[in-house]
Amino acid sequence: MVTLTNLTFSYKKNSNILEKITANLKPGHVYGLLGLNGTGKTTFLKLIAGLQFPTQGTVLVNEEIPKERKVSLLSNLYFITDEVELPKWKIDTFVSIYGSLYPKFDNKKFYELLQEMHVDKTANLGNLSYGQQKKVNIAFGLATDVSLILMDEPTNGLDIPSKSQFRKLLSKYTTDDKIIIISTHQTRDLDQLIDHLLVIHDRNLIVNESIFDLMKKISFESNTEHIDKALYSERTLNGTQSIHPNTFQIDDHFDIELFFNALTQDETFLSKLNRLTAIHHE
Amino acid sequence: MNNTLNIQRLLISLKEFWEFNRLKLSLIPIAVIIGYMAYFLWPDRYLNIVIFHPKLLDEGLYTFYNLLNNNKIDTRLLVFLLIPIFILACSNTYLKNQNKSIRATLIPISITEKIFTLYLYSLVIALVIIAVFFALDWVFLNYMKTTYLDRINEINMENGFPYKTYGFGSYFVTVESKHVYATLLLTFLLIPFYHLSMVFFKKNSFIYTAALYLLLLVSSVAILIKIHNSRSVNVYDIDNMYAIINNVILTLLVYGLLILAFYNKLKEKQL
Repeated sequence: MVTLTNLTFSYKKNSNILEKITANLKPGHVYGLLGLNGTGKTTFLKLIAGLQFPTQGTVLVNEEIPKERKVSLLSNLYFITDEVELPKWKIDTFVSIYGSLYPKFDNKKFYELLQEMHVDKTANLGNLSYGQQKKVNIAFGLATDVSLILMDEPTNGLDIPSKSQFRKLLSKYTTDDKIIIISTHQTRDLDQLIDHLLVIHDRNLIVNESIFDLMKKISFESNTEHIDKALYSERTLNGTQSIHPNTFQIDDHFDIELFFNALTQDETFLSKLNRLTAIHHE
Repeated sequence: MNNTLNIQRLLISLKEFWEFNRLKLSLIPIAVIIGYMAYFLWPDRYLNIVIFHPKLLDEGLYTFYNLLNNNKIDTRLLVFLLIPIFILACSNTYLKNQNKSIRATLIPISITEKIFTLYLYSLVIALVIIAVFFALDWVFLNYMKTTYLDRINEINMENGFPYKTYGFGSYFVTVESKHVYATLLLTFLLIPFYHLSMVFFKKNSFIYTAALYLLLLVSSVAILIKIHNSRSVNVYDIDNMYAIINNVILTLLVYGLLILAFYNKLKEKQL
């Protein structure tokens, strides 16, 4: 469980990146962390990992304070960064050293994952491309079997087949005891996988809701006749895409990208969405 | 779970350090051999004359006599400079990682274990260099003794020096233990400054280390002189046990504070 209470963070005095964020992130979910560039998504992940310390408020991960960087917490957390920082060693050396630091590390699973991602297990990490190294890091992160996996742009640098492969592997290894938080701009790569949305905008966590709940409130339509009733619409090459109140409880595909655009492009969308929430509650 | 020190994790940490520095650590004996040989290849020293000027050996025994009787080779202790060089070079990769890498920061190895790793390897590096140096010195000096000592003694006798003795610095006497202790002491006093410089100053940490180290040496000597000001200035007065104990306690205190500062700096590091 990740508990954020009134979390505020700033790099400079009086210039908050994140402001009074409160949230409870529970196991068994894949959280999609969205936000425009520079809104503090990576900082948010770093605060959870204990790489940055809150200016105000608290972060708790499994009842421990991440900034203390205790081994008990670190051995149950893995951060897959956008930049790959693996040492230039042979893969088996890398695994034999670091794998043993994670109590639930599964060697067999690691090599299976490498095979599924078409990485030569005898290779030297220094000779692998950025994308290949990223695959090794993802395989290692999944094989650690830790309860909290943080991913910052995990599909960046992966080739097209690997992106779908990544999706499959992640869904295969997602279990009820794990929290996975994925910060990404590539929503189309992962929209089938994410079951809960966290959206950071203007220093605040403006959305912290499951896709399931959101789908109860809104639906997505393409080239509809009732565009005048749309909460948000935009023109694309495929015609007009729009978001509507889900009056008829249509259980359709949730378009994360369109939803995110609505939140960031239309200042009134969030209040419209919140009003829907209110109606729903009534 | 022990969050501070666990032997299993410490062993993994040592293995990690080895992997980061495998090549450098493997090169240590070779570097000492090269350094030792280079010293004796310097003009006017034994190997230089044997290899480049062998005629000098044939032309008359007095060249030889001068070489072996008067030539001081005490400066071969300079080879011990490889100790700080290797310690700093090997720690560099490790510390840089701790400074910048998210991966290294989040690896489940405690800061205490990381500091132990750094010091244990420093000790190993120092001991390996000293051991190789002593082995080379023993072989070389024994060769010199068995080959030349009798003849040199004869020459000394002929020249009216029947009781000539040889001390450190000659071709027949090896390095004394006090030199080794002094080297180890100076090196290990340098290490905490280097560690701190690496986490405080991302650029030019070598320069800052040297500056801090010199500052420490100068200020220590200044303080010692001040303490002993009332009497004759002899900061290395080994008869004064009280002063020695005081100095040792003071040094250990400063050392402990430096390690503590390093520990906290690593703990508070934000990336």
